[in-house]
Amino acid sequence: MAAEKSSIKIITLIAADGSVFEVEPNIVKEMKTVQSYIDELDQNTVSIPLPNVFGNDLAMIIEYCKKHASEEETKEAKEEFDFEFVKRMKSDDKLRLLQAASYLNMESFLQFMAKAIAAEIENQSVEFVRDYFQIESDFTPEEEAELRKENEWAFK
Amino acid sequence: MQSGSCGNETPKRHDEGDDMISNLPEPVIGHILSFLSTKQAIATSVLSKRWKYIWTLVTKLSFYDRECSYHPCNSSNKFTNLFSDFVSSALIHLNSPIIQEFDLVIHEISDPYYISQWLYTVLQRRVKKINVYSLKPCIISSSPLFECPTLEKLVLTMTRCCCSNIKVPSFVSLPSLTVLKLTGITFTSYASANKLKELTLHFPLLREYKTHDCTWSGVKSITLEAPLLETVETLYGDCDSTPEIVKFCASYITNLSFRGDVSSSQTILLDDDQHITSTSILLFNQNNYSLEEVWIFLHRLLSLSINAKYLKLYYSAHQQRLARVEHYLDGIPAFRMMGHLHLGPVTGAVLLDFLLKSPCLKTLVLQMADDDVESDNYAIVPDCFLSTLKVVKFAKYFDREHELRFAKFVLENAKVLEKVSFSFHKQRPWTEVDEAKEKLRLIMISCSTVTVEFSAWN
Repeated sequence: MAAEKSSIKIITLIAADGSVFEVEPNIVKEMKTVQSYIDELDQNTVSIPLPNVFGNDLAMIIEYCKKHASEEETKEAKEEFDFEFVKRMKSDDKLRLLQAASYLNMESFLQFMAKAIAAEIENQSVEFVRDYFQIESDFTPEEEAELRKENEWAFK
Repeated sequence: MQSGSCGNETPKRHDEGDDMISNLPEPVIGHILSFLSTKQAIATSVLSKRWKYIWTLVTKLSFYDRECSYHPCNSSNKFTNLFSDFVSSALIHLNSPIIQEFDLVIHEISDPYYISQWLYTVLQRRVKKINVYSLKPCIISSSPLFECPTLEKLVLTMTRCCCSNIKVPSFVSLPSLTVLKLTGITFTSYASANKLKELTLHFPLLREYKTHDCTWSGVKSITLEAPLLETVETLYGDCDSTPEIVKFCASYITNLSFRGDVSSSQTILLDDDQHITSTSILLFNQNNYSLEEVWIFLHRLLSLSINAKYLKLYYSAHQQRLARVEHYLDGIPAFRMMGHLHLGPVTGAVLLDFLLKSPCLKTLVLQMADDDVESDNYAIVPDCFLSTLKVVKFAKYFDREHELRFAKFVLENAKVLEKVSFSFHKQRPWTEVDEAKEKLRLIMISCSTVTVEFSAWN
């Protein structure tokens, strides 16, 4: 298996909107979903459809993976990149990328996005978080009051 | 309450009908909540019915008893109990199969056994990192603590000296532990009162071992088997604690740090063939040991540091300074690699001896002893003055005659010196500091290439 895998030169990823990305195998190393595809096939070129990830998002994820897979980049340069990467994103971009990370089964990228989202709701009120995630409460006011009383300290 | 229909925060939905967050699997939301304090994570339970139990999937827990908007002074007891109930309840409801981190900071606690109970729960959940800070003493039952195969990092900081107690079995093995930092803890052996135990701690992956004011009671000796150990730090002195002998079975120690009294000289037993690159020693002499004994102790630590690149040595004793004694020079080995030397308070003679033993020294930080009984005439110029010494910093400079003499010796003989700085002693009045600066400027007239800095004090 190991010999077959290393013989693969290029991996083609096809996003939900049909856009095509050709990447080197080391870029997709972290994408466990993609890896399991590769492991099942023994061709030199692999083409993998990713129906749950949009092209724009995939492009960003690949950009992130390229930066982090690079051995030439210093740790500081990678941190700087991470900072800018998050800074240019809107809230819904972050949620979509988190979803993509979950689908692609990318452990460290998932943690990275989860942390970025957490930073936006940190120390914010319940009302803010509801707005942020677009959640409509289906609790009656009595139910909510009861729940708040159960975990009194959490709402102090 | 209707909400979520307004504002610039509104995420655009690329899929009609579903909002982004409801598409996410619950464990993934659990990841987001893991980056929040557990208090806030639990507050998300009221967002909607779906969210009621999502927080139970968090993999990191952090509890902080002052993370609360009402002032604890108002009703301190109620506050403390509320917090304890909150932590206990959170741990009971937790659903994640593994806990990455457990962080706890407490200033008040109503029952010293609480922490033990909480630790017990997280240890059952295969916790990887534990970090507990407590301002109040607590009692920890050790058996789950010393049996957890997943534990990688254990940091217990108890600020009341040695009031916190952990009972230790005679053989301890933590196969995943890499970092152990303990402060203010008394370890008690399970042994019966009249028979002292020999303890063996087996930590095959441990890299960092730091203890601060920890004592062992009912123990004859402790053997620490840690073949990968790199950093050893044992500090005593914040309170009256009796150190025990710890024998380290490790041969790759690179960083050694010791702070304590000469009386605790036998506390660290190391094999000679270490790879120490950095040594830091802060030695007290509260029991009036003779200077000969002090040097014998230092000799042991210094001879382990012959390959060190960094050495910091501070000696603090009432009415005694680190001066030469007969045959003491045998105690200072040659430091072939030494690049950074930090000494204080020492006599000029001892200072010169260290310089003569450090041929490739680049940076010297020094504090001279109050009075220099054995004034050296600085007849020999050390090798490092000719080729490597670039930075000299005088700490707590008092403008005494012998200090000025050493400064002059450095400035006249250090050929590649780039920078010299004087940090004045805080007991020095400003008017006198100006006078001292003038004196130093006079001797520096000939050294135009050297940058000089003065600062108030350090």
